[in-house]
Amino acid sequence: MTDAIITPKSGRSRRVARWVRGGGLSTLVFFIPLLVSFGLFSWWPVLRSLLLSLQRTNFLTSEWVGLDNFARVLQDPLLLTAVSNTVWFSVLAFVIGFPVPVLLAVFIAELRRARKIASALVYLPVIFPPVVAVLLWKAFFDPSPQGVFNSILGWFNLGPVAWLNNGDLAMPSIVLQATWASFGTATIIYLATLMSIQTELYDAAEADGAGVLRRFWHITLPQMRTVLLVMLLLQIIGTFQVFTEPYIMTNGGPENRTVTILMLIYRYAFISGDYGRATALSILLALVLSALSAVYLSATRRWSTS
Amino acid sequence: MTTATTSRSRAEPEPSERGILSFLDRRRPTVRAAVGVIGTLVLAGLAILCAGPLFWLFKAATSTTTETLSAPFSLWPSGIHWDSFVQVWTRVDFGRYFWNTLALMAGSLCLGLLVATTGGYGLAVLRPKYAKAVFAAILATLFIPGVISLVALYLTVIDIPLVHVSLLGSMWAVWLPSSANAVNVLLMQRFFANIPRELFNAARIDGAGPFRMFFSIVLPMSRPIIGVVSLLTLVASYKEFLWPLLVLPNPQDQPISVALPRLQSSIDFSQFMAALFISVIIPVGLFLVLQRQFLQAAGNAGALKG
Amino acid sequence: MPPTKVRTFAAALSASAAAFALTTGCAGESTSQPGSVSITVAGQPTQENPDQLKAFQRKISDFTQANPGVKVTGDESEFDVNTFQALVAGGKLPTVFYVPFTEMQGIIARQQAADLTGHVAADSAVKRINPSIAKVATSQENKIYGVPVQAYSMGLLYNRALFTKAGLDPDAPPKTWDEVRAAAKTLKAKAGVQGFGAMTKDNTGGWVLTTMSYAYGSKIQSDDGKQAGLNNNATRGALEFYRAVRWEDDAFGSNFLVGYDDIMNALASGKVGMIVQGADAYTTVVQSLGMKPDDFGLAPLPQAPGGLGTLGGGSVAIINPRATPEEIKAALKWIDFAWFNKYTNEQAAVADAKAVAADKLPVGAPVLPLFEQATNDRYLTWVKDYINVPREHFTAYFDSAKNLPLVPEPAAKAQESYGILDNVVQAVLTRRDADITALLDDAQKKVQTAIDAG
Repeated sequence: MTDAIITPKSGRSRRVARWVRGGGLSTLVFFIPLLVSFGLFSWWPVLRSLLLSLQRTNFLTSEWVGLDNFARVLQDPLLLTAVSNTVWFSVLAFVIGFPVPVLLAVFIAELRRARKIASALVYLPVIFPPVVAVLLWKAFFDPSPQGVFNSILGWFNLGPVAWLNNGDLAMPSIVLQATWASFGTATIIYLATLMSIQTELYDAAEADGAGVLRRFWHITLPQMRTVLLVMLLLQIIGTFQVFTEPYIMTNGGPENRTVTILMLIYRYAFISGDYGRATALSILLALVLSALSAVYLSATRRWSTS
Repeated sequence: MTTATTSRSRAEPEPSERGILSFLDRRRPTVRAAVGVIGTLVLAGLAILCAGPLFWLFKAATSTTTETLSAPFSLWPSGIHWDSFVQVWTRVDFGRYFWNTLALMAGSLCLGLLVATTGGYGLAVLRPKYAKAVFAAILATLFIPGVISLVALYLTVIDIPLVHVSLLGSMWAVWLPSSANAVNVLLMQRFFANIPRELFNAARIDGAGPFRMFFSIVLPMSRPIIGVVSLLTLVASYKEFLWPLLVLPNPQDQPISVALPRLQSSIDFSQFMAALFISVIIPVGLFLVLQRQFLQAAGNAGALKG
Repeated sequence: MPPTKVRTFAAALSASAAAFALTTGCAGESTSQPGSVSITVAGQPTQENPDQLKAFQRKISDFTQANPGVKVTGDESEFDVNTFQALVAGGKLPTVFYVPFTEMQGIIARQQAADLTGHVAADSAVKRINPSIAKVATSQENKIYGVPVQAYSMGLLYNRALFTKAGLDPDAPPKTWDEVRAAAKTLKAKAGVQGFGAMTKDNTGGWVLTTMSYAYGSKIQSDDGKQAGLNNNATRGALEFYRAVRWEDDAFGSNFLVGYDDIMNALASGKVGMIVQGADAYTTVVQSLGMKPDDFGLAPLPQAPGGLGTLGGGSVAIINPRATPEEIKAALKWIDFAWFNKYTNEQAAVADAKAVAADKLPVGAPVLPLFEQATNDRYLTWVKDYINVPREHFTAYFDSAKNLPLVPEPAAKAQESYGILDNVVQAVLTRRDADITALLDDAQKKVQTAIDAG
């Protein structure tokens, strides 16, 4: 990339002089921060990933190993566990986390005086730094009968539940936390979309005698269709890269039930020092995510033209 | 995707607009009762769900460890204890982590704005021949998931190409990579592109060069977008966990988000709750002051995130 | 493995610094040219400990005076499993760095430490280190990759105050696993605390389970490191013990995602009665976490009939693999100066103990003697006036050091094995119906695969 803009050699010195006089140099000055920053920390690392995935390196020596890293990723018995855990997280996050913001946004949109305070409340959890929210919820999930959630269950003569200490419940518990931390963003975006629906559409439907539910079904939802699709894809892309929550709450336990793909990448690279294998898995994950991004791109295109 | 930015401004909630329910609906007693009941329930639920944890955190930080662990919902049985806050600040040296966090945020903001404003200006206003290629390369990074280059970026930072310097353990290792933010550049580029060309043409006739145009036209006119980008950058930087964990291995250099999980098991529970509370109350305070800007930025970021 | 461990031990190292200021400052052949070799050495205390830092810096200047050709720079880096790879990859590994015993085999396999075989002088103290300890830093080809500087063995740690509260005699800790189980039950019933605790994550669960297997009578790998041996009666016995305490007696607490820091904190704050842990935990638990010295109980690891002994642990000084031969030579000199002087020089020993005690750090903490018993006893007589640790509580442990064999860690893929065993431990503690035999068979296959993959 940078080759194209590097000053050409002596033979073309006149053209260079003209280029400088014409403001080419000062223009370039404005591009330098961007080119250096993206070049070193965005474009080069992507290229380097492709190279690294074909190498085995320990920083004293490195050798080309072909597709060996990919083979070793696919042979790892933990890979299947990590993939299915991640997909399970994604599915749960969809089931628990996707409908809530939609309904909330619809309700809040119908509020009048309280709308402002409701949006502020909804957004409050998003303001929590993720690490703080995760650690706070980890305390809530205290498995002893005096734990916060177990005390609440105790009021109804339920529990105590082991939460993160129960292999079946660990992932759903993490999803609860993650949903709490993120539903505000989605709600605010939906709310904005709802507010932008033209009131004439409702007036017309009402004139046709459509009741409240039918108005919701035939006008509200179709008007939100694209933003819903986009948010869904964003959510899937995000949940496929989940790391902080399980890393802090369980570090993959119990019995690897909460090991995610990104956690596996982290372990390969930063615990075992196996950078080639880690990059190979990153590339595999990125391929899947890119495919989803492509869908996202075409969806937003349609969104902008609609 | 960029249209989302503009559609947001259209979406400013206007209190007089109707939603699914019409004014006629609202006059009916059953509807009014239902709206009242559901509205109250939604608000109460949101208050418990979103503000409750914050309140509980405050209570836990100002109660003794034994009180919280044995009866999490009793309110200050032995009065309010402030000493956990004092302890966290003096014994745990929380101030240092706090200072590190501020330094990380400030540096990311400065570098991020530098790259985004100059780059956006170059792409939208100066538009040299290579601008198209650069723009495409930046756009592409939006659709290449960040996970692909996590490991490679890390290896780049510990041995910067050409100069062979290791940034490990230095704040630059966080500042520099965060400046390569495609969303910020694109937001700026989009905003600058909407500044009327005539302004620049007139300036050129007056003999203004690219630098003067940048400082006397572009920057003064783009305060709103600089505000949005700043807010996004600061929030993102405050929330970051995995990256600083990787590149700041020495506890002395770490920000709050990285220090907290470590402190969790090495300090007293009520002190830990105090640490969590301090970490969350600052962004929450800022949020209460800058509510509108936060919600607006959320809409922008949500629509652009890839 | 546990970062806190190395931190407190760094403090101990630095405190002894002041000592050498007094004793070795006189070695004055300071005629040669300055700084022909420069090395960086880990173990420098952080800014929060100004006294220790000053002492450490004084030690460096003393060393430099005695060895004028060497320039020494202190470094604060400590071992942490999350950042070690970064230090190596980033070229930020100091010339001398300290790692836990458990990491050595992996480091040797990845060639992340310099081969010292040709550099260790025949008369060096390194050569006199107890062979069973020196082994941890030696490759299977008998090459030396590090110098053990501190060693301890795994024992039964308990809270003496809780024992008293539960009506148990703190001076007669359990000697068999049945007694441990009974004590755990009593602690739960009479003192209302978790009777027994175990770590389960970050590979520590497998580490402790391996220790327990030794005590129950079997290693988990063949000595040549070629054959995994997890599905044996001893490991099953250890897990059965866990299962009984957890599900039959309910004396195992309720959180089973527990790391090193968590369990230390629980012991120090009186939330758990007994744990299996390295005896060196004394420094962390008493110094950093504020447990009263008199509450800290330490017993030899209980042995089942046919028990093999206990697992050893400690710190190894390694040297940066990129170091030049001159740097290696200087680094070895430093290690010798910093760690072993006090065993051969009375003045050094006394000054060291004085300085350590002045910093309120433990003198005479329960560790394993690195050298033969006589050397260690001589050291203890030299410093007896400064001992500030209730050693009378640990007599049984010290006696056991003489006759309880120290069994080494698995030769191959120790960390991987521990990680896989973490899951087995978590399964037994979180699922009432966990099938121990099936779990071990599965773990066996996984470890064998890892070993075969090389």
